Amino acid sequence: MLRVTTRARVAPVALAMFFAACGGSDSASDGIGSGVASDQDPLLVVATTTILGDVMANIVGDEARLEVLVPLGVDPHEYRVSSRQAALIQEADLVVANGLGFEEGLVDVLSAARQDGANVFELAELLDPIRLGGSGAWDPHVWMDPQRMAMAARLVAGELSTLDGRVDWTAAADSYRTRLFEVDKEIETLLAEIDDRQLVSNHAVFGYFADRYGFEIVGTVIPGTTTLSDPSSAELAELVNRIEETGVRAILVGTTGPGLLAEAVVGEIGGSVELVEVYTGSLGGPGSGAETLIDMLRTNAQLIVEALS
Amino acid sequence: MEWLTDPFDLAFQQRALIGGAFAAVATSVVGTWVVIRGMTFLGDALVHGVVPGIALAVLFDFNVFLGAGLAALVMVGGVNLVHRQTVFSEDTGIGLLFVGMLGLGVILISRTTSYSGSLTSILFGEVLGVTSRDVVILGGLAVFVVFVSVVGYRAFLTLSFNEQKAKLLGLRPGLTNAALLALIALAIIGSFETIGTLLVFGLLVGPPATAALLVSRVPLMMLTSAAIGVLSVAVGLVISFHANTSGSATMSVVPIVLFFVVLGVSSLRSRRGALTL
Repeated sequence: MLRVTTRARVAPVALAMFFAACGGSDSASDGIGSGVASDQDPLLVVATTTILGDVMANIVGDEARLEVLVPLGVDPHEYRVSSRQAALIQEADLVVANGLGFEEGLVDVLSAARQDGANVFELAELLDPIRLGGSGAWDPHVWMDPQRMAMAARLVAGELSTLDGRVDWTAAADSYRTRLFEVDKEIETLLAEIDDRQLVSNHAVFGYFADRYGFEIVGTVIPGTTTLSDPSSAELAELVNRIEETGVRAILVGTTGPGLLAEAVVGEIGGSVELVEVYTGSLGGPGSGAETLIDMLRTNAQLIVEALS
Repeated sequence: MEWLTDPFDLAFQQRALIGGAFAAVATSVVGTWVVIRGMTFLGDALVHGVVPGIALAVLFDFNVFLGAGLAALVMVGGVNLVHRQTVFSEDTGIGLLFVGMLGLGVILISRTTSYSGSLTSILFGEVLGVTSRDVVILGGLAVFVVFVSVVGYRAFLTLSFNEQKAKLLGLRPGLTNAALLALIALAIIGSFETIGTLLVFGLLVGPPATAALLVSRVPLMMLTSAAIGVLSVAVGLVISFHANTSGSATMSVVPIVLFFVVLGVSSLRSRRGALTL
């Protein structure tokens, strides 16, 4: 017998599918991709990065199914999804993304999914974003500031409550917020020990950290917001000069981005500047001290203190 | 059969299939000439050579198709100039322009502050993110490319196999060659921004080359190639879904694997044929 389900909607004739596809969202909205949970099913929540995955895990606990797209240790700037993951985005009740263009390889998929009716919630633009030094572009790296992430926790809890009112999402979000504020205080105390408040980073990922804790980013090795552009020889030379003039002692390099140029800069300057490997675009593996966002922020602060004191 | 239908459940998957299929038809028709005339390197160079045009379009906010078209024009003009003014074979000119244009592209991209101009999004457009509008554009492209190929079939064929004869017949080989180049550029530009460079180039070379192993008449080659291309797109989507691999990349690997499978089978058969003889 032929079972008539949404799966049987797949017409074998290409022409029929063409019209289905041109019709836009209809085949998604009446199929699996509906944004409303049925009575029994827990919500399906998709997070783009491991960091957002950790935030969501703290808020949803066991009350929802959680899927994370970018694997551990992979640069989210470059990651590209599979068809199955794109389907997850479509089927999810809530997709939590960083936004402001951070997930470069996902931009097309996310915007197409949104056109098809997917519920994509982009956080960074709602968290009082700052602009990158010198340019008009928004800085997407909001998770480096625990206070902003506390704001994010409240926002997603609100979004979850509109999707499923049976669970008290706000309570879980509030206890997570408390822990974020605790680590924020802890980092503040840690950093209070040091007077040298100048840093250079490999790519512009510490804007929010500097904004929150009163540091000055003297320069970045890679220009622009992305890990994929290349500096000119003059830009690198200028950076070397500026590091020598200002006496910056640490260049922060992310574990997921390329660090060859930063090594070249250190080689040029010599012993007075140190390369500090910190966690930026992805959480660390087991035993790294950066298994969660909170641990990652604390570990980064400790590494920075060690390098500067 | 659910493992076969599941990967095509959702609208974006159907758009990827149909958009990819349209691109496969357009690139099969053009790619057959590319393979027959030995213009693969030029095709590769064109795919990367349009990058600075697109970067310029992003930087100065004008239409990306226009930018890519301009870059393709510079590229082909430069290759022809080197070919005519020097004793070098054509691939030297292609190599020069290829590196020059791609380098220029990276220089321009490193000047943009917005993400839309990043190298990834230019080079690896995303077939899983194809919109309905893209599908319509790809459909129009396929129809146009097939139309031009049918109208200019005799001229293209004569040019491919006997340039001297083309001249004698008054088929204007210079003009035909230019038309063919324009057609290749059009197929690339029209599809790579939406479905990605990798996939366009995979479809431009893989299916026509496989078809050339199987059949020898040009129209049949185009049909076989189109069938292989559409099949590759569908198989790629199924694999990407079940094996959880990147969409565009998987779809571009499939036709290449198919080529080697067909090559292996046909060389085995010819060896066995030689033995029985």
